[in-house]
Amino acid sequence: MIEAQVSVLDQVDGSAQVTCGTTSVICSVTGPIEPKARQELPSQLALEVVVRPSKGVPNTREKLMEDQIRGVLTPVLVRYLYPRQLCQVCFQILESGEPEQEHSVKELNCCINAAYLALIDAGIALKSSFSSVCMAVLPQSSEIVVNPVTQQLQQSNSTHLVAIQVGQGGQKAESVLLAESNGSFDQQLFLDVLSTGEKECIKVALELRKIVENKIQKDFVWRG
Amino acid sequence: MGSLIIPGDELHINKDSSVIQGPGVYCEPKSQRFIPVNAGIEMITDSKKGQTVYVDFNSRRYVPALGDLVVGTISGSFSDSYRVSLANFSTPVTLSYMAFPNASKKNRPTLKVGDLVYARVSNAEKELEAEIECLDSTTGKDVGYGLLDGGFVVDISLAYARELLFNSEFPLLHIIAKYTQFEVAIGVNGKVWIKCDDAKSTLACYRSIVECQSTPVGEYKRLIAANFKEITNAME
Amino acid sequence: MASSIEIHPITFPPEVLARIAPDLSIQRHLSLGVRPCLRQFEEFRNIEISDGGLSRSTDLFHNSEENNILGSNVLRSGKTIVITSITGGFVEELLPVHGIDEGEEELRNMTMQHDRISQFGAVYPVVEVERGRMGAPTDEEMNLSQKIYNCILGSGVIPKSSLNVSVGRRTTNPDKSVSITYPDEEGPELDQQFLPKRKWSYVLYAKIQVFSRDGPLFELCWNSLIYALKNTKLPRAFVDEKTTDLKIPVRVRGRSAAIRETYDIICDSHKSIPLVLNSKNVGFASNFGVIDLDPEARLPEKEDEMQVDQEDSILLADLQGEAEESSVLSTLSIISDEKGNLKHLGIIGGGSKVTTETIRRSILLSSKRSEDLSTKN
Repeated sequence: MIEAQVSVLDQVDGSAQVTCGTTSVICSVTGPIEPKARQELPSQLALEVVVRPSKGVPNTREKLMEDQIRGVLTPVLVRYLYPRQLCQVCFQILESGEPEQEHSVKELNCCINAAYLALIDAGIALKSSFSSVCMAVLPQSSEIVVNPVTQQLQQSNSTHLVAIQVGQGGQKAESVLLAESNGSFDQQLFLDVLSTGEKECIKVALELRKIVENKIQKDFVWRG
Repeated sequence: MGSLIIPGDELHINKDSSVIQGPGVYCEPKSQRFIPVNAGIEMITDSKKGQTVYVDFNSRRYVPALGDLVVGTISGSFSDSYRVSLANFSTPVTLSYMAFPNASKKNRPTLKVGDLVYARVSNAEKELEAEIECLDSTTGKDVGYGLLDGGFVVDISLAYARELLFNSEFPLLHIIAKYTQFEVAIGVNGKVWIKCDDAKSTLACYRSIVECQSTPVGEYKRLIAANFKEITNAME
Repeated sequence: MASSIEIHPITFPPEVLARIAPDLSIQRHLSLGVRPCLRQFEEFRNIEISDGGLSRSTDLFHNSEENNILGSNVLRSGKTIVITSITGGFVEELLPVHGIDEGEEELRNMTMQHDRISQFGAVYPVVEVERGRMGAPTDEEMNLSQKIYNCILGSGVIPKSSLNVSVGRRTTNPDKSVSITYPDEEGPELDQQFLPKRKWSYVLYAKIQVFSRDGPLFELCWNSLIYALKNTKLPRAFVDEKTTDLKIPVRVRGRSAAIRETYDIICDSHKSIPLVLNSKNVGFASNFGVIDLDPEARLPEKEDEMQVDQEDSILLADLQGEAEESSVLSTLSIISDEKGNLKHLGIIGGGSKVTTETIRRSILLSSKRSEDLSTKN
């Protein structure tokens, strides 16, 4: 479901390349570094998120994605550990895997998971692990499809993204970090989506955990 | 060796005993709970005073901590202090003119911008600019800190740098020493300064240090031998 | 000689405390059961709306030739004023009015059905939050514009079909008088042959200006835009007979595509048709915040008073003011109609736990709010 490589870039502190289905993203994290004067926060870590699209120049679509990613990262970072410092998180979408004019859930999903691995790789303090999953609800059957393909995404009545904070050794969904739903749906469907999302997020978190375990083994290979 | 731990997991500490927290462990201000904030290996040692807990993790960005030995580059000088860079793009640290052995108002150190220094972190409050010193501040004596003349700096990961510095049994430098003479200064900020007599040994050392980062200890002998052999052959 | 230093506790008047420690100020207020704006926790602000008389059709001075605003709304909520004006243009579509052959048309319709969003039209919004200075749009403005665009497109308020232009024809009668006929008015009398073979559609732009920003804006902008769309009237358009008669061979493919019919499409200054919205997809937006109560920030209670059991997190409706915006980090934004059909739901976790109960409660409140808002006009 999710493929990832960690520490793919040389010049930054942490990086990860994540592929979910047809969507692929590379994420880099640099920090804590010295911020520009206008970014500096007196008591906490400032966060700069940059999203670059797979083709063309970034526009308001990417700005909105940056804002949503910031919404996910802000509560999980231990911000007060790094006062007056800056953390830069950059994303380069390699493969969009969805019609960019109409959707952004798949990219966003991939970005959030990539950000987790890159932050871990950079050693930035995190309060807990997190993961995300995207879903689409098909029109007739109201079936919730996890990680929809382009065709399902286009047919769907509504698209959803759920990112959650995972606690207790990756066993429990602690709280929702971001839920973003668009289209036509109702309360019951949303709650179903949310609980499916939580289950799937835990699965993703377990996969991410394995990737992190591999990374740590690789880091300390000289001990072995 | 402890177990693997990632953020969101529980630390395996005794609830009752007092806890001394190390890197990678954070005490949540609201709940006063200890949580791991980095992914690495959980290290717990029991002592009379209580439990010491830290997470041993690898990273590439150095954050100054009290007492660390570091290799820095002078990046600017002011009327009473130098500005020293310990990592690219990080907030620079201060090295006071008074933090040298035998320093006085008249006796100024003669470091230039671009020089390398070996120093110890003397003050590292996260809210303040960190400070480093080139003397043992308790005795005021010279203990080997100061200008690193010539040589070459190798950038390595932080966990590897700590291992090189603190584990005197670690075979890397011992094996290299069989092939060449060298001076070395290891900074836990991920910078190793190395000075050999000639360029080819420097190159072999550089390669060996970098490559051993991703090699199990058992293969060090073979790898280092190959590096030195290759360099010597290439020269001829 | 040792001198003693006396430490005086510092006290601040409420308005100063609210400025320097918004967090503490809001906690104190909430522990008393009231918000800084003196509303109840789940109370919304009233909104006042009007069309502002800005658009062509309601223009008091009847100079609709010069006015290019097709629909408008002025929304007032608290001290915040949102002015939405909708303008438009035509775009020529690549495809002709009728498909080249039926098979192709069928194929297109089939793919359309498979792609939900492509059945809907959109508005291209530009949000401007006035701060008394010029400059590049801020991140907030860009995010708002994009979010509104996404929601308009995703909710399917505007069916693409209602943006199609049914083009009329201007004829000069033998007695030199000019008359304009539209295909849907005159019936079969108008010869299909003389109608232009090109297809146009309306494209709508919305300029949303915000004055006196006081809290989150998405919901206000969205509601204002929906009201404006509801009273939007699209001007009818026609081409001159002389140009429809021209029989220039049209070749779409190849380099000769540059030689085309050059129709002059002209807006009718008198006639207009209302923009048809997909009424079942129209929803109104409301926002909520979740904040955890900090027991330590409560005012010290008197000894004899019973400790009142309060929930540790509370739901606030319709966030307002600097204090609420900066200290309430968990927010929900919901677009829903009065029946509880949702078009958009966004949760930003932000630190507090958003429970299923909270979500249920806010969806309920938001559909009630929507019921209230939909009666206004």
